[in-house]
This record gives sequence, C-alpha cells and structure tokens, in this order.
Amino acid sequence: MSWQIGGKTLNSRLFIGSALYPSPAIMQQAIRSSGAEVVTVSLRRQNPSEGGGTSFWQLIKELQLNILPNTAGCHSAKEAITTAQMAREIFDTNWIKLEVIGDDYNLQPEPFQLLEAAEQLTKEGFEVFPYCTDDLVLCQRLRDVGCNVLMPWAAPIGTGKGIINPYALITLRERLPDMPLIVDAGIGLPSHACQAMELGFDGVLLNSAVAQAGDPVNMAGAFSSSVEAGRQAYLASPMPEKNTAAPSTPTLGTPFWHQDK
Amino acid sequence: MINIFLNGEGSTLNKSESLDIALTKWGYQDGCYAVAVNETFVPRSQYHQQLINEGDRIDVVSPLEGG
Repeated sequence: MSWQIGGKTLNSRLFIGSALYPSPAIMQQAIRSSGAEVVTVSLRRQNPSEGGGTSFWQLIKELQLNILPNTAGCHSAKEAITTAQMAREIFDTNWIKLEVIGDDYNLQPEPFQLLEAAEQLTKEGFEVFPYCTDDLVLCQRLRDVGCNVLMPWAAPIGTGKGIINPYALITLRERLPDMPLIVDAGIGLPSHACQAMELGFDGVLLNSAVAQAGDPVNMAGAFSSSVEAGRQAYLASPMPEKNTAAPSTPTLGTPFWHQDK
Repeated sequence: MINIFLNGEGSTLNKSESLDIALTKWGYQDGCYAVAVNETFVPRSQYHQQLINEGDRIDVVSPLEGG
C-alpha cells in the first residue's frame, strides 16, 4: 500500500543507506534487493584527481530512487545548513536528512543545534528529515519549527542494538499520532525493524545492518520482508498483552473432566 | 601570491581570483560538485562573482556514500 512522505508517494517503508558495503556492485544489488525507494548519500571533500565522486554517483543514479542527502559529520547548525544548501544544488532535491552530532562517542544528536538548523532550513524550503533522539520534547519542538517528519534513533548509529528504549518510542507514537515517524539508526536485525513497525512507526532507515551483514543482498531482502510484516501486524491490531494464561483450546467438552463435588 | 585553504589543506593562488577561474586552475571541470567559501555556500551561478581572498577556506564537495 502506498504512502506519502515529503511530498512524494512511496510503496516501500524501508529507507536504506549507501555506505559500508563490501563493493559498489554489492551496494547496488543490496539496495535493489531491499526494495527501498529512498537511498541516503553524503557529501565529502573530493579532489579532481579522485574523479569527484562521479563513479559513485553514477551507480546511485542508475537505481532511479529518491535521494536523501545527509549532513553527517556536522557538529553545528552552521555546518549543517551549509551542507544542506550544497546538497540541494548537487542532488536537485529539497530533502535533507539533518544530522548534527553532539557527542563523538555515541554520535548522539546535538538537540539545540539540530533545532536551530531545522528551523532555518524549513524556512528556506527544505523538507527536513531530522535525525534525533527519542526525546519527546525535542521531537515536539522539531515539529513546531516546521518538520513534517521525524527520525528518532533506535540506538546509536552503527551499534545494531535494536530499540533500546521502547517506552520512549511508544510515547512518541502516542503523543505525535499524526506525525510521520521513521526509526533511524541502531537497527541490527530484521526483527528490530519489524518491532519498530509493529509499534506503529511509518518507516525504518538503516545502513550498517545490511551493508555489514555477511550477505548484504540477502539481508536486504530480509529487511524488506520484516518491515512489511511489521506494518501489516500494526494495521491488524495486535492482541493485548496479558499477565495471566488463557487457553486457546476450548475448555468446554474437555475429555476426562468430572465434577468432584 | 595569496594563501588559501582548499579542502583543509594549505594552497596558494598567484592573486585574488574569481571562484570559477580558481576552480578551473585546481582541475575542477563541469563535474558534480558544490562549493562553500568560509563555510558559506556559494551557488554555482555566483562563482564568477565570488572573489577568493587571502586566508579563505574553500570546500569543494561531491556525492559519496552515506547512511
């Protein structure tokens, strides 16, 4: 079933990164296998002798997907804004995955600079996809400054730990019922992605979990299935969890039963 | 002679020149890149107006893999 995000209609709810693959060819195959329609890319300094990123960009263009440039590595609003402006010119899109890192140990977003950059970029017409923590108030403020989608982490980038704070993500879903929410970062297994979708998240963005798998192409397919399974489960309204057992087989007519008294 | 920083490394130009001329001298053709001078984005349409001065920090970036 199709859905809308950032002014575009998509069929897949899996967003995928383009980094860390064993080879460019495997990157292409894995991205195709994922069924993702959005791929993240970055901007980096290039010398003319290195080809200016032309070969990589050609491979990505061949995939004919929506491009979501990131501001990875930026530590201030100023750096992120400038990177976003350069990305808009190169990729001819107003989409930007806004990353402003506040701590290099766990790559935790810097909430204050993130908010400042998000406000400025939305004023400049960008569709800002902010990579943020699962802090409810930060997410509300990002919404208030014009973000139409939020991308809270499941866990720090590249850890593969899965959702380390389900309570926070459940709270976000409950308190921001109409806001598209995409879990970004920290996913390691298809079951993690499925869990995020079961919680009612609108999509999942991941990279390392596919690229660093032993077989990225097959893992990409596994994630495609898990995201779809989680979405269908959410739409099907899971049964309520209970603390006491309840037999699924009818008790009426159980053989050998008799009334003692 | 002026001293500038190109992609974080020290470099020189014989004199202050416009960005489009400087980029050509550095070997950047009509490739897929964008430029910031002193951390401020310079649209391609303004390269010919942007003068490179002593101490300027020029960043030239291109698409690369990203997560």
